[in-house]
Amino acid sequence: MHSAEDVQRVVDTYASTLLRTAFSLMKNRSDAEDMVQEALLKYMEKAPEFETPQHERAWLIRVTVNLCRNRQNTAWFRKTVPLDESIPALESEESHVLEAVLALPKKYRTVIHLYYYEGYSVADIAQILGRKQNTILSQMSRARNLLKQSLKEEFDELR
Amino acid sequence: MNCDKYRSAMDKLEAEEEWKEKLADAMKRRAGQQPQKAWRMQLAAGCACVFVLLVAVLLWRNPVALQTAENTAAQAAGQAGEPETAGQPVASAEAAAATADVFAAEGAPEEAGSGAETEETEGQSEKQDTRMQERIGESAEEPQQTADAGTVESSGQASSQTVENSSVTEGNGQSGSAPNVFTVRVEDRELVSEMGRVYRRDHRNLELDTEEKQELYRSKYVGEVGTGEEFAGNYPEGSKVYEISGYKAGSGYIVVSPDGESEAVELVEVPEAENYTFEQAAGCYTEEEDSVYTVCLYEEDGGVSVVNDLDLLAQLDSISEAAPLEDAQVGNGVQAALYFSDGGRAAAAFDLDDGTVELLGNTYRLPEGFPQKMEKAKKETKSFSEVTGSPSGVTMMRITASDGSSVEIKDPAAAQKAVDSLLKSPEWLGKYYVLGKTGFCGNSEFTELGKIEITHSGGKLELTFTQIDSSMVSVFVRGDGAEEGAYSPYHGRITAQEWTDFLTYAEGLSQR
Repeated sequence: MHSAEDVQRVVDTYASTLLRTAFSLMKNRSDAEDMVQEALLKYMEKAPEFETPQHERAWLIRVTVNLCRNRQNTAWFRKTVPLDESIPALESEESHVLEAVLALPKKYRTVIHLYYYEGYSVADIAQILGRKQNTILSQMSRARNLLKQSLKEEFDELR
Repeated sequence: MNCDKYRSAMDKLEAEEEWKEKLADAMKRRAGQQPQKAWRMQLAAGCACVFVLLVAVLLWRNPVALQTAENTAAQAAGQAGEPETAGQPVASAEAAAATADVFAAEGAPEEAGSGAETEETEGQSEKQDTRMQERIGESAEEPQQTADAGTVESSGQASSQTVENSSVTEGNGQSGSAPNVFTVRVEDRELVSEMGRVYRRDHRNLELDTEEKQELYRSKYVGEVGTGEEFAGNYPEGSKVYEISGYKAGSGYIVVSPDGESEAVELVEVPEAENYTFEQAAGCYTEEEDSVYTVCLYEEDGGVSVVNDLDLLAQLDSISEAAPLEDAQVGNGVQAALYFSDGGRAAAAFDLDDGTVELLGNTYRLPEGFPQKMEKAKKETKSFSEVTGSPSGVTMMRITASDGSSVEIKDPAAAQKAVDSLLKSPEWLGKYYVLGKTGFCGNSEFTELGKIEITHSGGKLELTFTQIDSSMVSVFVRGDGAEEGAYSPYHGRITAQEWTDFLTYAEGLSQR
């Protein structure tokens, strides 16, 4: 069972990370916040033991991604249209890039976010998402091609 | 840089302090409730365990109990183990023996079966036999399905079939538990599983023309085709059903008839698929969120168009969240197979005139411009020299066979000659399609024959030769600078004879 201090630490440390990951999938803040809350509830229910903080972070991201997928697969979600909601205070170029990424198929959005924002390697992303490395590479490559078409400019090459 | 802009945009998405505080408070409150909740859960679980244990003991002592509980008080007395023999003949030895076998198959003590032998009446025996069938039907519904189809089977027949299935299952390392028999039946030349999933014969490129291939493709044994009039002319009773190696479980099977004939069938319909998005439908064939790497279109003239264009296939992902079209016509498109990176394969059909793709009995609208691009890609062909860039200054050619043995041509002149023979003979490749930057992947049905490595002034080339069917060999060409993890940049086809001829020719050159 997690102590109150532990709960506070997890919220302080990971809330923003999880919110961004959820936002990249759900495309709006309120759904993303719901998913973060669900993920943290799972964290409390399961009370998993982690070897390292990286392991803990990866676990929380994976749970958040899975919860977002589950939510998106519900008939209710598919039949509703969320209100368009962007991040305030974005410059037009940032907004343009963000819109292009959010317009990608959801399977690409996750890998793009985890790679370019969270800084995970392809191998790490494969482990977090439970997919093969080749699948991640292919999805990265396709996502970058689609972004190139929509932004008329390369995203960035793989490191 | 665009990715920096993405990062700075995301940086501005911060969890607000107020929300974080509320979230932390809610979590802490929840944490306080957890011990109470856990205590309740433990109590509930304990009660459930005791109840299940009691029911199990009752059923073990007298399997008729559940059946009779639904009937009269007199039958309820039967549950307590009192024999009802008055005016009723004794159960047949056959049914009792079958009962004992079933118990044995389920891992129950033998005395339970022998107790039933001495105490049962025929009335009870019939009920018990039915119950036995139902119990088997919990994992294998064959007897019930047969009854549904109006075919009458004697209890002895049903029981012996059950026992036979049990022994097969035990043979697969699952002894001691209820037999996990996969029962299938055939309707109108389609294979229908007990879950209502419909399978159709694979009439495309999974040719099971040799025993080696059959063995290669078979993986887990899942059961056998049951008996009944409706099966006549299709799969004979007793045909064994196996999963196909490399495919996602449930997406394709190999049916082997008792005389050894094999046939592959693939999933084309599931009962609940009506509202599936394209991705959910694809999910029946592959792991979640995998992508299509290759599309094989089976043209009416018997040719196969292999579409590997990366950008084109990426467009398919853009319809992953699309819902199926309502009232769309089905069955008009060109038959196709979608190959996924994890080895999964899906049966599909493309109607390029209508701009739709059919998957799992649903029709989806293709992205705008996709049909035109696909038509163009299908027609695009290149010569082998175009594909490889006509390498000059060849210094070495190494041919490695599938068994690992290799032939090396180190003499530059001979190596160049060998390469030229590949490039300059227009017939060498035969009719082939070069459609994109990736090659086949994830195809468990293709056997790699060998590789050719060419070192030349411009770098290195690697050609991989893969047997597609009994007469055709696929060639994948991979040059320097190909993206790590990406599959071969080009694909071509030659005949098996041409491949053998080349090997002989190259071997001659290597011995110079």
